Amino acid sequence: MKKGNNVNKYFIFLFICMQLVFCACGKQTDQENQEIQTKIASADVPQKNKISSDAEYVTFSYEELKNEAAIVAKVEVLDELSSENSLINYNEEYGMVVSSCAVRSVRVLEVYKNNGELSEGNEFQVQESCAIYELDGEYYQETMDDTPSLEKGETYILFLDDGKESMSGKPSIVSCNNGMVALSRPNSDDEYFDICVKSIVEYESDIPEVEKENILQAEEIYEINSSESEKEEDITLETGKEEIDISMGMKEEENGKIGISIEEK
Amino acid sequence: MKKMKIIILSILMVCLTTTNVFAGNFSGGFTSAKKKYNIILNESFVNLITAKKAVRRWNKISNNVSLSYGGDYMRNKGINVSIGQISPPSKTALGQTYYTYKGKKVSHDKKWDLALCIVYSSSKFSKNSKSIQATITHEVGHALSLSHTKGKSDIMKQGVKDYIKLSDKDKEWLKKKWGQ
Repeated sequence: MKKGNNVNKYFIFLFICMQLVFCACGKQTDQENQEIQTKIASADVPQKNKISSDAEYVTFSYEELKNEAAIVAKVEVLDELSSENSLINYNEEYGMVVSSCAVRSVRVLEVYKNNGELSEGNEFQVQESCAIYELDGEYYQETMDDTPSLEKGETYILFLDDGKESMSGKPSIVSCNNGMVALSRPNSDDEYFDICVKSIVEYESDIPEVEKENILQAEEIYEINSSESEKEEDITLETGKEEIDISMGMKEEENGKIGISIEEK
Repeated sequence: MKKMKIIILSILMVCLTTTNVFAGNFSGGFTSAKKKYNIILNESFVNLITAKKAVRRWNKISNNVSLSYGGDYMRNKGINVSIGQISPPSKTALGQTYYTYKGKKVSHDKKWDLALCIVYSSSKFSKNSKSIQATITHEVGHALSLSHTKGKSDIMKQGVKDYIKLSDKDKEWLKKKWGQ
């Protein structure tokens, strides 16, 4: 009789253990499914829900930007913008997302200004002013003032703050698109063309020092067609995966203005 | 030939109605600019009288623009101005304006019935009263369908400002959108 009781207890114990294992496995599968279902990429967001809010932010000249930035580095972007790396601040009172950002992974290709912790080859995270999120069953992609999101695989020169006052606590691009230079498309329509030109000239080129200084000290840099340029310099932009040869044309004026053309060769 | 003319005219009409006709204005916006506004205030930033003045700077320029104080937070229509209540996403963000239509966020090329103008509780860049007032006026300008401009003394230009008055260009863009 006593032996029978022991056998029963053994089976009950075994049954409970098996239940626990099954429950745990079930839960894990649920979590995995949830993760798969909740990762939203840009392609999942309908065009009508790709929104650019109108933001006002501090704008900096090239010199100010270098002073303001805690880190200036050439980086390669390792991941794509998705709901998984996005952060939102939803305000109950207003019934609205009132700020958002994403934390993106990048690999350092070169460091130009440093807080002492970064070196070539390091991977770290930066904050950008775009985000993807789900609200009331709809997917949204939001950006501040038409700032483009960092593209996976592309190379940028980024001007980053120390992250102490950023939403994610990670170093943030200093001022929306007034702190990012896309090296793989240097001749695109860039709102801050002068920052793009000066960054390339200072960090990427070996043009003669006198010309370099002229461009860096120029009061105004404006875009011209290559046919208008008076002299040209060849510059090779070294991105993580390829070298891009460009021709930079220049037309100097006496009033501190310089016209620049950038053409891919 | 007649058919071709009709097709070209139709395409032109579609282009004109869907894109920004004027560089300083959004194609979207409120259907009327006679609106009530509400202010949600952090008094350590700016007092209510000064904040109201900053909003009303857009009044008396166009006969069709009239902003009057409404008091409570409006969930469905009008302009809400939140000052110093929300932390910025990064320390250089001064303000941001969102638009909704029937409760859903929309872009500035669409029709909206509510605008939320946020003046962030930013750090060193917006500590003085003038720059806060300029940001309030700037964000309300967006709610009235004005986009960014490039003029040195424009309230609608991007960045920190040490002035609070509207420029002639600001007034011109408002009239272009809403009439004399």
